[in-house]
Amino acid sequence: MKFFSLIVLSGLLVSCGGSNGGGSNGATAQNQESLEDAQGLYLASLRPLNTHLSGFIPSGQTEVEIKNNTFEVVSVLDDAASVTHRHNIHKGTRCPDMRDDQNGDGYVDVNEALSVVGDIIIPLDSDLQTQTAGAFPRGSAMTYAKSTSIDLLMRDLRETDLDPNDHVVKLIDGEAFSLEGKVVVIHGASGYVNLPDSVAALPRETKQGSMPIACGILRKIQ
Amino acid sequence: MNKIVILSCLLFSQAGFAETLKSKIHALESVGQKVLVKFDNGRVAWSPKNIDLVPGQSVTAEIDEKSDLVSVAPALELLSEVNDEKSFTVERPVFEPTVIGGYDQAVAMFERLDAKFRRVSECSDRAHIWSYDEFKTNGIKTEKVFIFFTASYINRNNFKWWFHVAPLVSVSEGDAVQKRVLDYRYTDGPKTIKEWSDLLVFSKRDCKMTTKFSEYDVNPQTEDCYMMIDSMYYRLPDELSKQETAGTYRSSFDDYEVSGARFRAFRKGNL
Repeated sequence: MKFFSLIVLSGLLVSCGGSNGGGSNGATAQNQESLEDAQGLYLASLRPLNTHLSGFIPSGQTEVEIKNNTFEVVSVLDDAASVTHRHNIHKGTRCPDMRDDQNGDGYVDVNEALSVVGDIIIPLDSDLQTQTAGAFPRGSAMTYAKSTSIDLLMRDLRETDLDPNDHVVKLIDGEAFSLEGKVVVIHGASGYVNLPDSVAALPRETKQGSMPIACGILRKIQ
Repeated sequence: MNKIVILSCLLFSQAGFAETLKSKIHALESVGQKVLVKFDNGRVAWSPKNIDLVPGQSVTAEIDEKSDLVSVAPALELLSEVNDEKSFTVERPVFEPTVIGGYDQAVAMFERLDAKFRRVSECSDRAHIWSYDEFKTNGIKTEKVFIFFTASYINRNNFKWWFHVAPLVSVSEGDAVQKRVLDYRYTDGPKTIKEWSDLLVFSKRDCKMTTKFSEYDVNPQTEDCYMMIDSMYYRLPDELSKQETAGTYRSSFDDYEVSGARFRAFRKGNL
């Protein structure tokens, strides 16, 4: 439903010749300034969460490069689980650890992680230019590489959030776009892993598929 | 050499995923109806008992998601990179690790570690370069902390490695000197040895500290893990083993070995 609503809304905005939130000259200038500041290469070292899940302790890296009008993401994960790996950039500023296991079941599940890393600002899926549902990468030894134009990405991030409850959010009015300090989280444990009932799952997803397995903070390195 | 068995056929039922590695076989250990194969690069795999593998042989192996050996074939012999005459001595050299001036310095040191390691890289190579660079650039002598997982622990937890290693720095904190592990790949800052081992040892049992590698290699596996701490010059467990088997001790870095470790473990450009 959200997907179709966004398509309709995007069509309306394009036909009106403008983008929401960035329509005024002042806001456009501000966006431009924040994008210039954001130019550079960012690296997040993805360190393991819930290390005791499978005996293969996953780790990886996400690099984001903003160069001219291009937003490019490359993520790699060293992992043995041949499953779909949801991975997203969140608005929070720190990764969860076992102190965030609120129900004390020995796992930092997806809900407990979200309470720390905050809402999703950019889903790292097959379609970077919109937040609408795309396909997430799959596999052990996951490699993900996608790019889009900054213009398209920003247009989407300045849209109206049609579903405030889905943990995927837009930039708020006047909010500068920045990657520094944002959190990358990767989900998806092996289907062989047994998890207790206390572990939360995303809608239409298994507990294993929902489980956060690695997390890192984006830092500008160039 | 003639005992090397070449298997290009499937050993276990084929899985969708298989990791390929090239390494020497460090040791073989019988566990129930299977054999635990320990590779020099730290990875383990499970093999049927009727497969004739030999410690020391270089192989290319495919391992599935459950760590079962899918196939194994001989590889060109992996030669030692270390010039034994220059890098080993027959008497244990005196090694005094540098004591740095506080936890903040340990954090700064941690943040200086090269973060551009390859996705598939060996802990021994990463740790060696981190220690080497810190020594060459800032003159800081670190130690290495090795953790060895027992067959019993590996079997219970389907654990994928038999050892792990990271640099260890001595830090003056208050009136005491604390040891902090610098493992950039798996932790977000300097950690105590216990914090670091708890990340890897799910039972949270303490690892038995030892100065003899043989204690790990031949013990009845009543422990979950063992630990050894030695100088920054040690890269592989085999070198620790040589203290007993050959009476030799590492006493310096080897430039050729360092170059190899850097090439294997780190990248120059973007991901």
